[in-house]
Amino acid sequence: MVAQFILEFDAKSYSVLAVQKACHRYSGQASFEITQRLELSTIQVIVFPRTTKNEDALMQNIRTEVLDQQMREVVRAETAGVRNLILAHAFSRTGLIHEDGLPPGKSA
Amino acid sequence: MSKFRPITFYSSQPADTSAQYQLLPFRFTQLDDSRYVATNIAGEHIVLDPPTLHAFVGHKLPATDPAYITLRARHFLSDAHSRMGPDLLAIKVRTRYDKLAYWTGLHIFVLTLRCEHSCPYCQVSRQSEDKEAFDMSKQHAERAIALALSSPNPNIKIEFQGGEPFLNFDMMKFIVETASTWNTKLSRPKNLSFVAATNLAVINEEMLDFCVAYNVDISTSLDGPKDLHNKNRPRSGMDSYERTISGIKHVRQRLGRNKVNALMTTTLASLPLVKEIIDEYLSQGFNGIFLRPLSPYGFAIKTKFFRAYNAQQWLKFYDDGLDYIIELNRQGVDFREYYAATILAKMLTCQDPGYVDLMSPAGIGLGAVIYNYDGTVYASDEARMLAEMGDTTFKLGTVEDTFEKLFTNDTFLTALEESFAYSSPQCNDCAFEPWCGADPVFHWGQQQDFSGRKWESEFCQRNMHIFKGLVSRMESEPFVKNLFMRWANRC
Amino acid sequence: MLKLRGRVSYRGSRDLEPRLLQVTENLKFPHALRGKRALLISHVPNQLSSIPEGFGAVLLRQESFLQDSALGVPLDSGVYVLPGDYSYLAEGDIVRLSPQTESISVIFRRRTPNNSILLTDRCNHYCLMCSQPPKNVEDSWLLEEAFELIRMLPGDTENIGFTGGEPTLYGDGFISLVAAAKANLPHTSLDVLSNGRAFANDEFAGKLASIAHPSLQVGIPLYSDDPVTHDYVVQSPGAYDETLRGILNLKRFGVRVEIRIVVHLQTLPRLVQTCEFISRNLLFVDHVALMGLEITGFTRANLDILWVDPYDYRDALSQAVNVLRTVGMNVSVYNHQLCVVNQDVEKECRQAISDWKNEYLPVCDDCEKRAKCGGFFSTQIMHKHSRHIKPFR
Repeated sequence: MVAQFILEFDAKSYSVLAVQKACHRYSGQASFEITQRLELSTIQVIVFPRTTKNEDALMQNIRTEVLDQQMREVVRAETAGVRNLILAHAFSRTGLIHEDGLPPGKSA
Repeated sequence: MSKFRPITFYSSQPADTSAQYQLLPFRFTQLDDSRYVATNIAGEHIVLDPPTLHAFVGHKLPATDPAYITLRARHFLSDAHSRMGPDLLAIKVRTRYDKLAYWTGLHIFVLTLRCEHSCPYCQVSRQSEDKEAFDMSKQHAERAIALALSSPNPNIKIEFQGGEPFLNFDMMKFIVETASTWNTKLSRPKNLSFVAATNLAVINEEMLDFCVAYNVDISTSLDGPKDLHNKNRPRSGMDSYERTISGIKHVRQRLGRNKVNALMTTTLASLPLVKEIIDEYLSQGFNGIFLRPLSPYGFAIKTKFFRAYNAQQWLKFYDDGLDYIIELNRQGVDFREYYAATILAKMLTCQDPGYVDLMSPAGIGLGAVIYNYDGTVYASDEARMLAEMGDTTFKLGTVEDTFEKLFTNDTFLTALEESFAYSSPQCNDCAFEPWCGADPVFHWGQQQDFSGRKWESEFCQRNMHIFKGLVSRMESEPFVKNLFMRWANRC
Repeated sequence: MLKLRGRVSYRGSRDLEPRLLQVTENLKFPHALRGKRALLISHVPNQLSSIPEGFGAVLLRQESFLQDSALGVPLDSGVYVLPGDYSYLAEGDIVRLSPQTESISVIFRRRTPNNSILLTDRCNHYCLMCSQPPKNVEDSWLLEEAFELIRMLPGDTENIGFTGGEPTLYGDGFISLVAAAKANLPHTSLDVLSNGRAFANDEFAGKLASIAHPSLQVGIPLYSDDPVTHDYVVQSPGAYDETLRGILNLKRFGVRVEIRIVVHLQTLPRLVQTCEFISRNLLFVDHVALMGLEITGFTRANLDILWVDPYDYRDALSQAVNVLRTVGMNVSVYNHQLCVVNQDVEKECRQAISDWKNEYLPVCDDCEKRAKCGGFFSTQIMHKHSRHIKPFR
């Protein structure tokens, strides 16, 4: 039987995307099953570590990473206006700006 | 009876204001056990003790407190006596970001991988002298020159690297001549400058004649006194130091005193010798030194030179060096530390020094671009070094690609976006963010993440320590504050 | 100190209005133009039997000319007898002569490089140290006279200044005057002293800029980085913001701006911080002048809250200059003697005091730096100066 650990994240505090990104970063050390438990308002993650070494550290790291990814989402959203403005200014003389004024690689 | 009103008439608040003052955007980070550094959005700072900071944030700081007056003058707060803060801050922020739109100013041409040195920390996979397959071709050079001149930046600096670029002197001549000629044909010619990063070991009269004629600056490596330098930088004959020193003298005679500068690399052997290294630079007539750590690329990784010392050890080396340099200045010697000077420019002025590693948005592509000997184009020098290790994440394309294709490269754009310091959770509320930068190449190399987990990042650790150190030194002594102001303004 | 205006002994009709006249010593000056000239008679040639006719006015250096030589007084011009105070008056100078008040005002002197034209005594500030205390009078005739003066000035005049009071109180009248200066004296540089507040209005600043005067500078005082201190020194709430806005607008439109800071007890405590503020926020300003106190006007009334011996603040002055110099701004020190400043600011010290009120102490005769030193305001010599004046030997 492959060892497995269950982590649960409050769906009101964390987005599924943040959880997915966090797990993805550790896909070298484990595989994951991610389920949204809508009735309990949680996101459940079953972690299948690839080795038995340092499992506690791995769980801690995953939790920390989920928080990090969640923070990144929030901050990125809040600062999108400033960021787009500055990047647009950076690209302003390259001729690579779209008609909608956004820097390349972005859409409205 | 006097018609003049006392100052209390002007300091009392108008009756109709409800709030005493409004906070303008600012961030704060602990400086040490008893102080905080706070910065406004233009990167101007103030040092506050915790009670003052708390009172300030809690809207309880009295207008008579000297800190209040400074906070108002430095645009940390706005009150009924002056509403100019936002407008002046806007001008300052705009000035700070102004040069961003100039786009790439530094264009690095790797003329060859051939080199007759075998420095173990070399970030390039050098080839021995006879392999011309590792030279840049004419076709690639022409395409690269065209790309360089199409950058909107009015100032274009072409830097020759290698291996040892003078081993491919013919190509250097070709590029300098071609770029200069094509430049005159532009509707708005660039301010074009050239620099060659060389170990000076193979330089001869013909090469110097050329450098004089075309105003090519020289950048060389000097790791320290003879024994240290030769140990770090072996070549057959073990005479790298001698050649470097005589090369420097020669270049100065022919090109001019200030046409050659030197860079050092810190190895484990360097760590106890910071004063000796600085003394060596002094006696060789340099006006300053750039104390920099080993970068985690190339042979440095292979030969484990990179992991030979940690951030703490390097920071001690740095602090001892900086303090020694300050002492030299106290004795009347005008000598500066260039990394500090670069950071001080960001701290004390609104002029961006354009130092690629300390820019947000990241300096990759925006600040510098590198055209490799084989025609590949990378977003920075470090990006190329990463590629030498097998990771081509930051390859923009080749010189056959258009300007548009190169700079709309998906990974490049994603890296710029994701590494944007202001949008990174830890950096977003760090007081030092205006002085710092994003280094997606470093963080990708170390953590496989463009933004990086800053609490694990030596880039963050190193810079925070230096920022705090510079602020502390300025706070403790007017002499140092004045000295640093001169460094920041390059005078 | 030269006397530039005062009462004189007058003979002639009192119906004549005050007028501007250009001084000439040429007895044979062409008749057609004599009406706009004042004939200056320094000595009576033997052949002269009567005062030439047709001049706008006649100026005699001595009362005795009338008595001894039995010269008749011409019917069509008044005769003014000048006391010795006006011995400096010379060919090409321009005077305002008022028969009704029997007075003369020397408005323009040909031989001095800096001539200031007073446009009004009205002002919307009330600076603690004002050297030209404001008067709430209707004096727009000064503006009209300025237009006339500009038309009379020789084309090779190096420089003129517009001062007050507050010149911009004339609004569009001020703009027209600057335009007239450009039209009549395109090779004459123009210095305008103003508190800058009128330029907080974009349109007004734009109008000044649109004139595109070839060599215009607006000198604007900023006394502190602290709004309360600045407003207090100029005695006007809200002055700080409007002045700053005015400076920003002028620079946005490409007009040269000089910031002036008078150093005294109220501005000294934050002098260095003020220069730091300028270096971070107003780096694009063209010049900064740090100025010593003139002991006249309101300064004398407020001396107890203004006076500080410059020698005692020489280190703060050095630090302030150092801040501006380090960031590459143009900076000058006016009205400080070389013996009361540190050597490191000597090269920023200028000889900036108008010649007519510029003097030295007797002890300065021995000083080897006298030729380079700006010396004193006459009023400093009369009333208050540093206790540390010492010749360099």
